[in-house]
Amino acid sequence: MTVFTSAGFIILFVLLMIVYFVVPKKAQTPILLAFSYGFYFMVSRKLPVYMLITTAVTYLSALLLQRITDGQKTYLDDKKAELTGDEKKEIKRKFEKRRKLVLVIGLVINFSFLAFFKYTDFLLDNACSLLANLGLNVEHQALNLVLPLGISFYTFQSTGYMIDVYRKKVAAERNLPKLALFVSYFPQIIEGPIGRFDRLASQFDQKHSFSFDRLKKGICLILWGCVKKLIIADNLAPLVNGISENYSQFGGSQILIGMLFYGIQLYADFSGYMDMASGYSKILGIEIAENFRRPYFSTSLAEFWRRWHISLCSWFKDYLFYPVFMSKGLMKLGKKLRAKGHREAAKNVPTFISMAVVWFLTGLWHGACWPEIVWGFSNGLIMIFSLQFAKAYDGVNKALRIKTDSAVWKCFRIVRTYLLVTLLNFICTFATFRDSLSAFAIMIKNPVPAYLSVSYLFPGIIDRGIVTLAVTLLACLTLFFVSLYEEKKNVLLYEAIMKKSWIVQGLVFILLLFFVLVFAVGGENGLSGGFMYAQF
Amino acid sequence: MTHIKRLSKLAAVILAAVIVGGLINFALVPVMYEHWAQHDRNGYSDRIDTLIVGDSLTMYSVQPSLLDKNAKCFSFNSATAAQFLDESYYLIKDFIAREHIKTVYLGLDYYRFYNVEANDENGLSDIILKRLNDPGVKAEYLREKFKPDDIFDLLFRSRVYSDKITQAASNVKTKLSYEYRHYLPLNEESSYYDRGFVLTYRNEPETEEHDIDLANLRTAEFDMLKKTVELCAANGVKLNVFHTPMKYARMDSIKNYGVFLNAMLEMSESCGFRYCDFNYYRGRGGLSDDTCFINSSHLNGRGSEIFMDWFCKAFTASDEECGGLFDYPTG
Amino acid sequence: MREQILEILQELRPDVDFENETALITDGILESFDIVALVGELSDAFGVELHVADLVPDNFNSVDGMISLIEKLRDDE
Repeated sequence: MTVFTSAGFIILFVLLMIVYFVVPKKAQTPILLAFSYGFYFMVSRKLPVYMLITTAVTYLSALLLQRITDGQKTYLDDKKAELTGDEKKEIKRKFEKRRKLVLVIGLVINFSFLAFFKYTDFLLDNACSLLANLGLNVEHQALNLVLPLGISFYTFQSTGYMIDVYRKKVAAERNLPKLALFVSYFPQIIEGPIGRFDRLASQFDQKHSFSFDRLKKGICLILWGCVKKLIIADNLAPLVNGISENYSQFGGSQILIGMLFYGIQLYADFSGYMDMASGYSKILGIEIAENFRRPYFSTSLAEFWRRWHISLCSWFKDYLFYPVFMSKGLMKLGKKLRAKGHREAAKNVPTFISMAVVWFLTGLWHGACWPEIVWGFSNGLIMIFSLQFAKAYDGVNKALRIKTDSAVWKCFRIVRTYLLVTLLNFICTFATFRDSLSAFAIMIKNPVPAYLSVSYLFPGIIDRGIVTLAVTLLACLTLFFVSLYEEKKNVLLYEAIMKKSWIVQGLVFILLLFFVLVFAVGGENGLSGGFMYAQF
Repeated sequence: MTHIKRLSKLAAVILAAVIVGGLINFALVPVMYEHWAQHDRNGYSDRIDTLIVGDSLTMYSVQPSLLDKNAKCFSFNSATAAQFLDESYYLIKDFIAREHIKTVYLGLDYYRFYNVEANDENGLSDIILKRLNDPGVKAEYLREKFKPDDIFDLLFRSRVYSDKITQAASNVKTKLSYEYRHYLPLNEESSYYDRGFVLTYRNEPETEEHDIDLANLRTAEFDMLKKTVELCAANGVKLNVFHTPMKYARMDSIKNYGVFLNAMLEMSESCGFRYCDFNYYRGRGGLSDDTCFINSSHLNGRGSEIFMDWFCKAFTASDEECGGLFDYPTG
Repeated sequence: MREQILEILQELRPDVDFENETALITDGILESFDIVALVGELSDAFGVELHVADLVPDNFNSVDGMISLIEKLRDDE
């Protein structure tokens, strides 16, 4: 059950649609903005104070940056003739310093909110353990702060915009409602994707009229998202949670199956939600960024991270990896190494250092705890190793005479990547590191199932009945074949269906609709209908 | 594509969806006693002057035909499986509004008085909703119970019964049968018999113990009971409350049943209704644990016949006589 | 300059036809690891300092784009 499938939201969205498509173009952005803020309040039950502050800081610092940039340009244009080359350079430096200062202050303010809410307890915990190790026992009370809804996402989205303005990639936005909408846009606020200003905000400028075609596509996406999230993910949850919380009660093969399904559950949950968000947004005429591209068909971990949570990785690449890599320190290092003739190292060392930083922070973004950090860092480490030993690896393949362009080899790499991702998931799925290691040990010792019974292989789900289990597995298979189709044809299935006759479209719609309506687990307040003989 | 063409295609798809939805409902929504019960109630509407409510304990035990003979009334058994006390309240209210009710027999279930989460919040029940004929009572029930997300379950009942898909074929067969369509009893193990009563001769010899402690009872339940008492008093309806007998071994496994019993006896005194717990009927030994029960707590058809004899005796007797029929533990 | 750039590119990614490609970035032909390798090589070969702001598709989508970038950087200095 998510907000996107609740009756309340659907009714409100329909009302939004009616108003949105009737009002003149000028009013569309303010209406979306009001709806987004209302949505924020409806979901979090709190006023979006921190989001407002972030919006204000972002808006003002971007304008200030623009002012300085424009000021620099006019100054230099006016005095072009009078100044010498050196004087010009000096002026540029001065302006640059000012711009950098404004950017840094803006970034610090915005990130400090995120840091405060998300990482204070983590920092305090670690500080206290550190002090304890040094013999000082300091008591501290966990603050247990509740994160403002969406703070991880809107902070990154806003700071991306600020950096884009600094880099002169986009001009600062003078229209405050437009910027505020960019920060708070409701389909993205809870789980992303992290949008880019040039691609998202430019859509707010256009007039959006009702399109039946977009409505069909949107509904199709929403229903497909429901299949993924409500049928696959929500039904796999008891299986996965049971194993992650009580792994010692299970056999090695059960842990293995559970972890393999965890990857599916995570994908179905996250991408299903993305599909719903995307569908609703599409109906309004706004396309949000792609966040998943059939990630489990990746042949390497590096490729996986180009297909999984794309908007986050892309953000880290553009706003962290490149700046770190192109920083004076690392550029100098590279130069030095090249000068000494170490061309490989000159390329690799700065790359690896940048990657280490990015993946450390990626892990940290996912959670304020060591397992997540270790998980992120491990991903980075594995990719660093595969880059470093790429040539050696090719050599081994050649020696073993493996046909690297065969379909079989590709399948092998796909399976290997999935297993690698599953293995990495061990790190942060269990309560502590020790638990992860224990669970892994149990799995390694006994990977073969003791019984081949449904209740042994699928604990947790089976409690919901054999029909639920069958439907879940059927949905998983459907997901697999749909993904396979999309991977092979490089086209989204629903787009392909929309090109067929209206009868085909109607049939698909009815099939999806009833599959979801009949089998999607309802909310906690499902009707207590039923034909029960015994009292319970 | 012209607008008319497009609209008619859309209409065709929507119509197809409604038909498919109806077919799925027909196949998945199980055969339920509601089908007969509602037909009976509507058929006898003007004559019903006595109402029986409660959960499945009552549904399998109280036979309107036998009650009518002894109490000279025309009764209807609107007990349903897992009926909560507030649902009984709404049913009573509905029958008072629509029929000429003079007497109500309310069957209790000790489990409802047990402090467990499952008893705390019962949501909207489509079965109860359907059984409410009076628009005013229905609206009140909805106001109290309806949550926006219930709308999916209400519009498309198959959602609630999706796990019944394996029985879809036999379900459809039954629904198309002559008996079903003409509201005749099915030739089944537990079939609807007459005016809400369900007859079965199923019999499980084993007893399942119920290891619970009734020392701390749910006050909400007593509040609801009080509300029911007030409702009946306000409408000049005589309220009788009872508890059906269960197997001895089951009875023994429940801790502090006496707390529940005494609370009920006290309440019956202070609120002025007759309460009869048939676990303590002086002829209790006449009900064989082996043959008269479906399972540890529900009477079957054989048990019900014997029970109805006691039931009628107890409720047609005077207060004094009735007291003499029961052997409640003192202290 | 063109020859030099082509030489660097071919050594980096012999599988790509740099002469004719005009969407190296937008089509995802060059990946971030290729870019980072390229940056160092170009900055050394032509003595220019690249900045993050220069890493836009327009500058790297084709050899011509890279030429204009380097020329612009040289002018600015």
